[in-house]
Amino acid sequence: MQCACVEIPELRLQIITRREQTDTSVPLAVIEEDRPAAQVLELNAAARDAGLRTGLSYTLAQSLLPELHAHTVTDTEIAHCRSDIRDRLYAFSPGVEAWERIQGVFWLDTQGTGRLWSSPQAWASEVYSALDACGYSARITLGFSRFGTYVLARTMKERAGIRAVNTADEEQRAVDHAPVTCLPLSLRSRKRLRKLGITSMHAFLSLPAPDVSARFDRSARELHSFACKETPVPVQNHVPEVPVTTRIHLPDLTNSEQVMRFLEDPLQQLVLSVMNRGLLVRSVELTLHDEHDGRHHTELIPSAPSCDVKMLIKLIRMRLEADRIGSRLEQADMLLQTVRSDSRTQDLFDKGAEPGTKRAVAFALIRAEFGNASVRRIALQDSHLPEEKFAFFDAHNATDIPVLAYGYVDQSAAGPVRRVFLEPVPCDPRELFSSADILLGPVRYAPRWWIGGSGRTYYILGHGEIPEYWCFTDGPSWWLQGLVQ
Amino acid sequence: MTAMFPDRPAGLMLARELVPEAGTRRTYAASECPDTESVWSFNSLSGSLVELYGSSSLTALMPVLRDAQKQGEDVCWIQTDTTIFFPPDAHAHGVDAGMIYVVCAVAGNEPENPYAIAAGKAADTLLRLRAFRCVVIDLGPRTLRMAVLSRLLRCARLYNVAVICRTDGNGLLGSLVSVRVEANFEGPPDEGHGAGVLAYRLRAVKDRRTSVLWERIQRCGSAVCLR
Repeated sequence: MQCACVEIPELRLQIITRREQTDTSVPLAVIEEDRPAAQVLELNAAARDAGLRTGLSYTLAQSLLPELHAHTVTDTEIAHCRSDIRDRLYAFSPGVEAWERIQGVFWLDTQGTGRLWSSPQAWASEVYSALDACGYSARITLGFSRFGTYVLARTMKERAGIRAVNTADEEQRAVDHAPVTCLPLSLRSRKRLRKLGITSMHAFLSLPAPDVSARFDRSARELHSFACKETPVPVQNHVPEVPVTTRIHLPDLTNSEQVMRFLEDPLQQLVLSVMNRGLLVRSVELTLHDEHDGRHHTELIPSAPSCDVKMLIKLIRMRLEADRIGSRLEQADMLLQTVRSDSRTQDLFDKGAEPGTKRAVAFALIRAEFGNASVRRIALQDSHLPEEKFAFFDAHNATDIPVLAYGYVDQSAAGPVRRVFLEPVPCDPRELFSSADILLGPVRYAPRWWIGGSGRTYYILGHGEIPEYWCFTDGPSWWLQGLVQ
Repeated sequence: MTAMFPDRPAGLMLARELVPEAGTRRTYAASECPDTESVWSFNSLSGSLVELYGSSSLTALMPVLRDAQKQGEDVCWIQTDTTIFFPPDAHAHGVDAGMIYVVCAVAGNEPENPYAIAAGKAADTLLRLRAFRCVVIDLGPRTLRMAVLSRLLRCARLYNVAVICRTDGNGLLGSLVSVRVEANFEGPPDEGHGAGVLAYRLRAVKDRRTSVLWERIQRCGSAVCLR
């Protein structure tokens, strides 16, 4: 056993049940807001037995079942409840992770518990009893991976209980055979999967990542990416992040050099406090308030998490000089985002001569001067429309870049290279066709025809055999998509 | 010669004395033209500031990028407007577009020529820190200041980096460039190449590496490949 998943099913409903102390025979609903058209998010067994379903509006649900009791749960209540559960789980494991994506899901690191409990099942029983004693029904699963244990919990028939698998293969088989509907996907994604005939988890996870990112919504993308990670990620223990912040009074300054003089000392103090906690600075968020109550917010990201004050000052100075704030500044708020310092992160600074580090420093300087979106990478996408055949991704978060496998490339068939306009430019067809001949076309693309998307007809125009223009018409108007160069 | 340079230390010779044809404008005949590998490849362009222009400049650039990537070097592409090479076309040429870092910078505080100034600054930062060994600056109709070009040339030579500036016209970058190449599409080369084949001519207008001018004709697929 490597990890355990604790799922608190219908967390919001359980919060209400604990808060209101209602009887289970009373039909109960959780609605998203306190208004008649609000959507019903969760229902207890009594309400479900009466024929209600989630997704209905509150008005409709109450017209169907007049004795329905509806409540809302605030984000603060949920956060408080999660924190409470997490604290209780720390009594059973030093490593507890609360999943940010889905409320009510926790993972516990079970390694090393064998010396304190006779068996993993005995350990799980105690966790179950502890949660039950404070009014939480939980499904607890013991397994080998975070996603595997989560799916095991979701496929349990009982509302509360314990389930364990003995081998990683057994867990994998259980995941493969689980229905895809056990994942909390949106209604739209579920419909799309049904249309594609994808019912099992194995079929869903076999879909290529670029196709999932192109055709499904964010939640489906994130779940697919989470499940398909090649390297299993262990339980990520929660480390409380204490914001490191300060407020500096600026006496009506307009010059960036003057502003820097007021920022340097407080920044040094903040970085010192970060170092004392064994943390590193991941980014500096600076908010400048001017005399007209205007706010200029900016975020500076160093090449790697560090406590190098000189570099941070340099980045802030570059950004302030580039932004050239004209009005008088009265106040500055500085917030340091931190990460845990481990030996591996510290090693990065000792390897100053590595090309990757130099590149990161160069990019940090460029981002400081020209904005955080100035350094990007390209990822090919599977689409028909030229401007959707590729996308830009932030080079800083290289892990988010999807890789589309195009397979073998026959370079002998490579043609001229086109220059694409990131946004097509309107053009006059008479002028275009009077000066050039059609070399290729019409080539018809009908993107999203199933939802009524308008088609495009593409042409390559040029002189003799030499291509020059790449244009298209979408019916009423003509657009220049690019040039052949 | 000594009369022209009376203060020259003994033993120091001028290039034209060492190489008789240095500085002359001789075009190679087709038979004696250097092969493409020795004049138009990543290795041959390393340490040079290159100006590339003409109707097929993007297509002519792809073999160099592919060559750099084959040698394990990542490429940085500095944009100066809202256009870029079409990544699937680059992919067809064997270039891994995913390993090209794109820098799109605008110097908002510069009222004149903000894109070119930002491109110059970004290229300077990348070269000074030796972040890449192949940097492409897609200048288009813009130009860089002489001071910036001078710094780029110095860094390119010092760190053996290929700095390729793609421009829209001949001589936009002045006399500092080491290599100036014109690349233009031509019709189908001859019947032997078969139908559906296009060619582009690479013509060195200036080449300080060899001091002689060269020409090469390269083949590529025709417009049909753009489907």
